[in-house]
Amino acid sequence: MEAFHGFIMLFEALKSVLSPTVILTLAGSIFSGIIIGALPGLTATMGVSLLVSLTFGLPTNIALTMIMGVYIGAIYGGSQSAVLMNIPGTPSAAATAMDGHQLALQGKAGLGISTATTASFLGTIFGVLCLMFITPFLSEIALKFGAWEFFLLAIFGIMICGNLTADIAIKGWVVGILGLAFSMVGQEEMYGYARFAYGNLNLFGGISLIPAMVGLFGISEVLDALSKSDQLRVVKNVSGLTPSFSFLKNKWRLVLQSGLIGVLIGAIPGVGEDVAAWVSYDAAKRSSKEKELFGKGNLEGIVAAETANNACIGGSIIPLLSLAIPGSAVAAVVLGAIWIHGVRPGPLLFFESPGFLYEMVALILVSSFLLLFIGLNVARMTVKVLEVKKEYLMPIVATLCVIGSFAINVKSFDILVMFGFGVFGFLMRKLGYPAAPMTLGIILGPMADANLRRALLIADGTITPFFTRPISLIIIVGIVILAASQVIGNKKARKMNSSVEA
Amino acid sequence: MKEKRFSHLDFYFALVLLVFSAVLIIESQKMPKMGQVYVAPGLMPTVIGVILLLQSLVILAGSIKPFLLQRKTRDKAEKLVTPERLRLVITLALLASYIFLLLKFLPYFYATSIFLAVAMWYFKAGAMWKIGLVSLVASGVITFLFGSIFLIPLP
Repeated sequence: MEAFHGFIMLFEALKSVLSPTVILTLAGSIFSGIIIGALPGLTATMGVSLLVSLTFGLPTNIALTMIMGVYIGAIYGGSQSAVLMNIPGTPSAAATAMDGHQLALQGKAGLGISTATTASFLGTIFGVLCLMFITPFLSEIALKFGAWEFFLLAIFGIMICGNLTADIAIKGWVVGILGLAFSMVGQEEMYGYARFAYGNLNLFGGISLIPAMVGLFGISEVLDALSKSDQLRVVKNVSGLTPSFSFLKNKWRLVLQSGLIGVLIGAIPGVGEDVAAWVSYDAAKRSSKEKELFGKGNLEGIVAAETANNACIGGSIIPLLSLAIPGSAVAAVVLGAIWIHGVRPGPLLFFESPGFLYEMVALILVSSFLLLFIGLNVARMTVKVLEVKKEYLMPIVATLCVIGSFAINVKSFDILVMFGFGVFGFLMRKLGYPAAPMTLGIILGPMADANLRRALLIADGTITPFFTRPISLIIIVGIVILAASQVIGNKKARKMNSSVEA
Repeated sequence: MKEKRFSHLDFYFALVLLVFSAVLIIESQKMPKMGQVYVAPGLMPTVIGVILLLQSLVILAGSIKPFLLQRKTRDKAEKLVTPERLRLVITLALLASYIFLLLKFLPYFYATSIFLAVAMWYFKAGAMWKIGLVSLVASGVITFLFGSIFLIPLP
């Protein structure tokens, strides 16, 4: 009965998504997303964070349509530069480059791109179906949460930061905790006391998420790109751009396996599209009859990576909508966007905005079809765009960052915040500290602060309920397992590295 | 995924983090207690400060060896000013001038055109006429699109 109700809601949502305005907006956003994703240096996270600020004044449905369009387009767009230049436009397309560029060098760039596009389409569909069926169950469990569980959930969110880095786990945690520290600036929720404001009125309202985000992802990218003098080479011969359904019909098992890996990894908070693509690529290689052809232009490698990274989109939105915990770095930015537009993801989402899940499902569903059509048709244009010099592009991106950070509150102070976080983000990048946990820390800070004090107030200052409430205890066990897995994972990787070096 | 250990640069980062966490703890203690310590506005910042302090000590301990090794083996002839560092400093200076000077004294369209033209010229994006055209068209499109279509207030 509930599933039937879900389908009716989806049908209603599809009716509104299929309006000409939304379709045109979505098509334009997917196209922009593909270009952003394809251009090395412009990542999906950066594109989405910039768009969040620029679409702030637009109606919620149009703003979210643009954001989701760019998100889906950018995750796919990375595959085009991966095939044409051997440079993944986004980290999630790194595994695609392994076989995709080899195909391009063999004169089969069109086949590589069409296979990547079709696989991305199937991955997105698989992810969104999982999103539709799993989210309501998770939300129902989350309804039993009290202040204790919400505090622990915020801590869980910070602990996943260890996974948001390709480096030592503590580097992710440090940045996450630093994000929490920055979120403490300004008036707190309980008494309205202005912390760390020192009489500065600009600091009373706290550090705004969007300027910080635009600085961390946008300005740091501009600084990084312009400080290097390298230029990139593009394969220009692209032909044979038709959907590869006939090839994929025989590879349905691989598609299902990769889709499942993508959704599962996406649903684990903090582990993003790049990890999904690599794990799926590895699994495909292990199960393939043509192992030796992987890395030499094997289409199975492209299918595995692209199906998984696009299925990851649906997966990463599952914890985002049900628990307000993003599944990946881009999802963390999407979470900020949803909050800014007045929708509160989390256990109460189904009461406060009952149709929101289905609107998202409908948006992603329609996006996947548009992606298939647009992706195949823009490949030749992508070649031209990829030839645009970064010396033209990056200064323009910098001006967009300035508008984006100013537009939210119409405060010049926010431009300073953006600039400061941009420089900070660049320095962190150089030291190997990831920027995404900072966003997560700033988002989760107020939730952790208010719920910790509320929990202690209810229990007269004792922490016993943290260990006596069943769900709270489960989350604590989850936090311990998560931390242990990150530390053990680090040690294993270190051992592997030293044995390879030896 | 690639796994790395701490580098000598982490040593400097840990020192900054150490000072930052100490300031955070001290400043949090100055906040009013509001009757009970467990509801005080300074509770969460203190907890964060203590965690950061512990983390900075872990990074410090892990990065001492690479730091000492780097001091012993560093190439004294290594140049302080490399082309990459120079480009970075110039980019920062251009951005700062745009934000703190141009946008303060000039209307958005003119400030942006000048910034784009100078940045593209310095980084040798192309011929002068191309740079002029691109910077004017880009500034115009951005000003019109965001200012008139999206109705976003321009700085």
